[in-house]
Amino acid sequence: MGIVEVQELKQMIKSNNVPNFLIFTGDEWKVQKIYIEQIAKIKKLAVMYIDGITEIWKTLSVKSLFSQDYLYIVRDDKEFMTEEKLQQKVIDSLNNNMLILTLTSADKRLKILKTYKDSIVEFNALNEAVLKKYIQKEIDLSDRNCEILMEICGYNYGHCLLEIDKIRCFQSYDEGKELQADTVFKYLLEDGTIHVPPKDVIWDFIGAILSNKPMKAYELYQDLKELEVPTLAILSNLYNNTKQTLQVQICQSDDIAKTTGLTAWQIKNAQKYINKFRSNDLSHLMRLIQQIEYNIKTGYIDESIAIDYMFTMFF
Amino acid sequence: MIGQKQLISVIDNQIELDEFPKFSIIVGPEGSGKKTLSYQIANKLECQRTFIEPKIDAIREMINSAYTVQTKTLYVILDGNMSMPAENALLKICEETPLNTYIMWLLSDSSIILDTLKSRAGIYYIQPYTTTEILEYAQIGREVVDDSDIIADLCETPGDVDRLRAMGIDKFYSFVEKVVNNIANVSSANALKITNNIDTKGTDADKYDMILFLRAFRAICGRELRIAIANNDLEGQMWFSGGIKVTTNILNQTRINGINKSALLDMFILDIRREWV
Repeated sequence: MGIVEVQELKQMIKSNNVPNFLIFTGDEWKVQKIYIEQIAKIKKLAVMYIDGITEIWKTLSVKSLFSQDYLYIVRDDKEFMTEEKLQQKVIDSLNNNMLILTLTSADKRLKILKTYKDSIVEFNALNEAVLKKYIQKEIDLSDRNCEILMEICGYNYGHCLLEIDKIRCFQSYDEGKELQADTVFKYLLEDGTIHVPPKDVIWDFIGAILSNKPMKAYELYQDLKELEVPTLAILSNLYNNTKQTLQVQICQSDDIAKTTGLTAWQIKNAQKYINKFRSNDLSHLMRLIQQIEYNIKTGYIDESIAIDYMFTMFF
Repeated sequence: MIGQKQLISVIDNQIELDEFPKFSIIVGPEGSGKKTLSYQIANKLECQRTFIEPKIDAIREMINSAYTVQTKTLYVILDGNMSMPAENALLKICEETPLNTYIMWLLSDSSIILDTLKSRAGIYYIQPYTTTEILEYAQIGREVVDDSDIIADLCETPGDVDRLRAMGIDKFYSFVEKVVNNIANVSSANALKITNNIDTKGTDADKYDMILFLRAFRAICGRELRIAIANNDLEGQMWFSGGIKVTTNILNQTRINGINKSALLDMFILDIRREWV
């Protein structure tokens, strides 16, 4: 036996043969929720979301004549995940209750995942065709728009449902007249209500800074923050590009490659940004970036505010 | 091994009394003889020596092998930044080191590791080498040491001597002299090109070592400063003392763990030009 397939869990639910302890992993939290509701229905349990096992430990260890049986859902309970004795005690005293531990990220080295490997159900992303079918069951979107929505939502059913909810909301906005889902979807995309995750914009960001466009650079920086690009990687790339721009800008020789030691590609790239700043400003930016990097590494400045600090000091 | 007499005598004593710690840390700058010392200790403990990379997978493999190894083994973890999970994995085995096993970690900076690891280890610091010891090392296998003045000026560890010789002392020194003489005269684009000849990551044997380059730059400025003082040349005194100030500042920063040395070298060039041009 190994990890339980979602299909196997479906069979278990059909035959009312679900074990009283399960571990749910994977990104598809909405599908998890559907299965939780199905399990609760078939086993006639009341669903209760709890913060930690300690909350229910007392209830489990005391027998009551009129108690309702529960399906407890606990998320990433570190104490429960690491204390082997506690796991055993809780699972042994569940009786007619049931416990589902949901994990946001399943680190395979965790001992609990090895001990209870037969209880793990992985909810991975649905395949494209199935997801499309599910979406079109919810809302009348064209195939093309369905594909766009799936891509925006990273093929995550739960995320798709949230966006579908927005479309539904706006569809009924015009009183008495139901708008077409495709029209609303297009409008919400343009409007930014349905958020399209940013693509890798680090080079655009560097370009905006070196082209002396602080507003654009700051907007792109928000995208970089959302993408969680490490500050030091941004600073390091910005430093190299600033240095190359400075080298090309101050080079008086015709043979730039020979004088600066840069490659043809680096020169071509740097030439886009020359003369947007004075050479002194570029060397000031280099110095500033180096100082910020130094301050991050010596603990004088927090990484999270380093780029904002750079904006303030440079522009 | 040249020098380190006191340290070696302490270690010898511990080995003789069977008190040498099962987990030890040897701290010293790059090229100071940490591996040589580990070789000597392995010999004295009658152990075979196995080198381990400071990576989580390598540490886990070491732990697995430590519990099953039949022959007495000294695991030597090489210098480098170790991740927190790797340090935690190491912590477990350090608390109860298996029977046939000794673990030794070579480090150039002990301030970056977990205090709990330090508290479980016997820590040995490589002492700074005296000039006589450095010259004694430079003498090994040679009748005459050429350029002993340069070696004494620039080298702090035996590793520095090896690196300096590998670069070619004359070639290297004349390069640095050329930089000192011309850095203020050439264009900024040309000045920044100096960085192409200097190795900031310790990986390119064809380039000049950054630390030795900076030390040589400072030594040449020092020599010129002495001449300027002797000649009562005030302008020269200002000029070269400025050079020493900038170089010393940059050399101090190179000691910071994880600092971007390439950017630091650019700053050196910009600072020197600001001082001199």
